[in-house]
Amino acid sequence: MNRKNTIISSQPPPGTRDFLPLEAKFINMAANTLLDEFSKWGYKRVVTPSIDYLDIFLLSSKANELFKVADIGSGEMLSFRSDFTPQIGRLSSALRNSSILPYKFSYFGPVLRNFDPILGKPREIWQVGAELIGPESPESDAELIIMGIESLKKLNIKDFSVDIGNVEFFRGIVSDIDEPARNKIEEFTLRKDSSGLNAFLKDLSLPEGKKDIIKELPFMFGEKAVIERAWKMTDNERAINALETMERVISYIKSYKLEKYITIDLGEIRGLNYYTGTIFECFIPHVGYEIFGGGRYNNLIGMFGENCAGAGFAVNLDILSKYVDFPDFRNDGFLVFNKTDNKKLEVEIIMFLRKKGLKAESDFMDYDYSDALKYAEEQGIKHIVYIQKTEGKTQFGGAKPEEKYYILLKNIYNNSEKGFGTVAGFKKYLE
Amino acid sequence: MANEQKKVKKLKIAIPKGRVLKDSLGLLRKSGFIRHPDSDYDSRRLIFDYEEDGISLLIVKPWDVPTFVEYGAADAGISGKDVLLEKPKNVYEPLDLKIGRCRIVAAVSRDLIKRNMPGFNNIDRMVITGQSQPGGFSSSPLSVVPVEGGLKNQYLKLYYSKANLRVATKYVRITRDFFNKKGVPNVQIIKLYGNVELAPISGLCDFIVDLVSTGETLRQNDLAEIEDVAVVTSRLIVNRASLKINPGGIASLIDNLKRQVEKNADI
Repeated sequence: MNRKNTIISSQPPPGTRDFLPLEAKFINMAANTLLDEFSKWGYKRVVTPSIDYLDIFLLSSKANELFKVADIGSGEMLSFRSDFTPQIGRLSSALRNSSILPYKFSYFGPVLRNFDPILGKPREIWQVGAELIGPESPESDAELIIMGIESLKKLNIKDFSVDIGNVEFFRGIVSDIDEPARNKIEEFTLRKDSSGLNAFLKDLSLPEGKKDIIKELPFMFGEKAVIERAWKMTDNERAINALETMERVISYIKSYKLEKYITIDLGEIRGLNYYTGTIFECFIPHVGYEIFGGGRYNNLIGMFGENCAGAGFAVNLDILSKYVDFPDFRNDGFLVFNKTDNKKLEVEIIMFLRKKGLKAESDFMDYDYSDALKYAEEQGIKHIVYIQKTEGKTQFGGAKPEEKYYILLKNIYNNSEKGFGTVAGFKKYLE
Repeated sequence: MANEQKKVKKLKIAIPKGRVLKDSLGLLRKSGFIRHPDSDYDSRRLIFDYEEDGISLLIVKPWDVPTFVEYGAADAGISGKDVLLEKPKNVYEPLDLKIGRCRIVAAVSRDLIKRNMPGFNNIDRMVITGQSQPGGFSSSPLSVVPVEGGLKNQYLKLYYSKANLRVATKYVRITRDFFNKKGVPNVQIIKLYGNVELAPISGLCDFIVDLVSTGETLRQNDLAEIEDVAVVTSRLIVNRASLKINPGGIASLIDNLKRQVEKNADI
């Protein structure tokens, strides 16, 4: 291919993006705050490979939404990570012979989802998450939710709520309906398309009482009263178990005095073929996508051998970091900007500053004063050190003029400046 | 719980400019959501704030309504089912508002009928019979225009009359799904942005899939309907976060509109 005349696009592929320094810093700070909070609850960070066997990711993602590659050696299909949870499931399964439960893992990294670019959705998402392998109780579900709430509070996010559901409620109610009809009902309930659901039920041969219950499913959202309504809807054992779980989850959250953060939606059934109990999602007003989401997946680890219970959630950092009030990032940096030929002088100053733990950089662009100022402002550099030649007297006989310089230290935020005739004076001032 | 201490927030609703604007506003007025006197919605203003009603309207292009709602720029919106089918978005669609009703149909040039089905000389009349009952179609999404049974089957044969079917449409996804479901092989879809009826006349293709309300445009461009691909009405769509965070407000929006839609249906 003749590459001579082509200009390579400066934009990354649709759905991916570059994070410039400030944004990258936000993502990192948010991630560290979360990982730090999780560690206080006993979660330790693990790192999993960016690629893994296709089958692993198929446990939680659709085949057409994976970035797939064939393994050069074996021809086996691999995929880039679309979700951390199945990998955590895999490694937990491998640990079963050597370590005792529970396992508490946290993670941080990007996941890739190969959505149709037309949809305009992000395809690379940075996540931090936690998985709890072993426990099965509603209280352990609740603890994950509580940990999610507490970590958002650590990031000073105030206006959010966590919506809690339980897929077993839906499953119980539709368990005696044949599969094709059940799938249709699932589709309508997922979109809360009550008009579509009602039209579909009209032609279905089901007792009217049952139909009335199914018609209610899209509207099982709101406050605690929803659970009271739900108790009256069913005597199915699975559904009743789901309601009991829900009540225990809520009462545990109450004991942490965090109930003001939660809402309930028993008609929420996302990830029905994956989740097996409690599900939850955290929302911020007027943000279409969830800040974090997760739930219980008691069948996942069994896919790798002996089964055991698991639950967890992942935080979407790109969305989250937009709503975090980070502290002022203007750093204490120095830009040393030397207009003399004396490089030693410049290096001495820089080494002195760095030794003191301050940030210092040289100007290699050969900027003049106003450009240097512009650069410093843009980069959030607080001080510039301007080393200037002063006129020495030319001596007779062609001898070199005596070297004279002048150091100007300027704080560009408050415009205060101070001049020094010697490096020693400069150092003394900063001591 | 979450919103007990929160004040009732202003609801932002995205309304589609154009064909369905009037009916949408009518519905919101009759159901008591807008009490503010009428405004000039054809003006260049795009946001209408009604403080006393606790509502604010965004006037956007029909194709953008789901986007505004998905990203949470609006809590709810009114969007045609055609838009929702063509560009699926992560939103709830709790209510069929039964306004803006029309159909997406597959249509074919009469030329092709004449060439492939020479026995059917009275084809024009048959088609017009089928179309002369506006509103006569049922609300089921795959109902067919009443055409005489035998002729109908002949029509369907047209799909297989060519080795390579070229179909012009605005609705690439809907068309692809439709022909996939029918099992028609080798369909080449040509995406157009408007005046799709022109495509068969100019020889770009033989088939189109397009929105019709009366069928007059098809007739004038020498096209005949084959069958309905979908029946389109406007839907109330809701942002997921808004529903979770403000369940009371959204539930009352759905309930009130539902009551009004039922009232409209009784008339």
